[in-house]
Amino acid sequence: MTLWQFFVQQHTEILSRTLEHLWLVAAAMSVAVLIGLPLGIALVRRRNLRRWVLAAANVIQTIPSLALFGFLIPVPLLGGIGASTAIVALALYALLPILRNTYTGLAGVDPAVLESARAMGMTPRQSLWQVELPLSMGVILAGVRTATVITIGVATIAAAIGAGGLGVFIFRGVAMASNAVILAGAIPAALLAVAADLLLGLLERRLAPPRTSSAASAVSE
Amino acid sequence: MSDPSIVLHNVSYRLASGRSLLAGLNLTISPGETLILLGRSGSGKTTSLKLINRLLESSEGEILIEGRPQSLWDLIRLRRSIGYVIQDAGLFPHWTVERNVALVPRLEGWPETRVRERVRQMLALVGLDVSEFAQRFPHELSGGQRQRVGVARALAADPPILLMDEPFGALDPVTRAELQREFRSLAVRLGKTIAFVTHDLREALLLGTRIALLSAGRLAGVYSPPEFLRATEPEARAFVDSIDAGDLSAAGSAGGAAAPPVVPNSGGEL
Repeated sequence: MTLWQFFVQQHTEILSRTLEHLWLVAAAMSVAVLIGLPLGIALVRRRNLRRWVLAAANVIQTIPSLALFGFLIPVPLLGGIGASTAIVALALYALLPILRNTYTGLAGVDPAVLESARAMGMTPRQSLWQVELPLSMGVILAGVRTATVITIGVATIAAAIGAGGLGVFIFRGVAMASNAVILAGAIPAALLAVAADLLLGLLERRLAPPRTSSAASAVSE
Repeated sequence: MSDPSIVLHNVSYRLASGRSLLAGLNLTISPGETLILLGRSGSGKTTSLKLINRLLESSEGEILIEGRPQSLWDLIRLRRSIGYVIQDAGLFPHWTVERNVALVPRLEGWPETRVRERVRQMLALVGLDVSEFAQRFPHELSGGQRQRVGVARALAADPPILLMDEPFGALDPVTRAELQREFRSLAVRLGKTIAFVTHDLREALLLGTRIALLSAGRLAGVYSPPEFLRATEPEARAFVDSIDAGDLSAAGSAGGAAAPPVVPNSGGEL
């Protein structure tokens, strides 16, 4: 049986695992953005917190992903077997790039522009929403893009704790020593990552302000 | 003489580290005058300017704006009553010229038709054609044009006071002279109270009704342009000696002629 025949034969499960995978990524990214963006903004306003929070996010990033999933299983409320544990773990991974880029983007806004905003009588809130966030949008979205691509990859491991997704094929394929089964998980996952990268890259260029500073291009990874 | 627009009474400013940047400053700026804050780098001139709109908070002393202590002003109200122009204009790079100029009127909730009319007036005032420039972004302008937009933005909500921090400092000499000339006639015409920071004595003589000379965080003296040229104070002499004598007589007499009657400084150290 060729790979193509296998894919055609298995297309319903491939499709449902892909959707499952997308759901894991979307849920984790939502959590990560909802936490990372406000936290990144807070770090700019309170720079004394910055070292600790970025250090913590860095440490989380260094934990091997399979170990992180394992660590979370016995944790009450968040843990256990299944999708919710996986979403927590994935969100923790996605947090660092979002947090770091939000901070870097906001900290990179031209001080003369910030001073003008203040001197013209903008409130801190007006300055944030009308000046600082729009000007750092390119850098922030670059962080979201990096985080999304990482999460799509790491989410394949979520199958190890019963969260489903395309990783199911990969683990099954490893157990069966079948390349076709492994590829049924790996190829859609890779395609998802490429698609997400292209789409978010497009959005980034669309939303980034017209040639503001070199900061936008310098920090995107 | 009407009430002073800006009064600094015994004002000091120290950094958190305790280093003093400004000590015991007494200065009165009258309505409609252009007071130049002249000094070398680090003399405290920019610091003095930023204390007026509370970009910096004074460590000691009292500042009155239009007769009211600064502490009684709402901070946002205060800043919207004071136009601010800095060296690189500080325009918002993601906004068009139109939006930049309309900033304070929109923050103040003016009706949209009035905002548009005001933007048109302001651009005309600084010599920019609306149809050509309104929809451009700051990076599509020359340095001189950006600075014109900066002035238009500062004037848009018709604030009685204007603070300018070396606004023409980054321009080429020709553009600079052009903007200085235009600004001088504009200042006379609009009757704004202006505090203007520069380290350029020629600019000070050309634009100022009075010149407050700062040296190492202290006021070294306040002079009319002709007085400045005759001053015996060492820092003033150092400034005068630094530029060519030929230029001086021309600039000095021009500045002196355009200036309203010189108001003696009430609280200076002289």
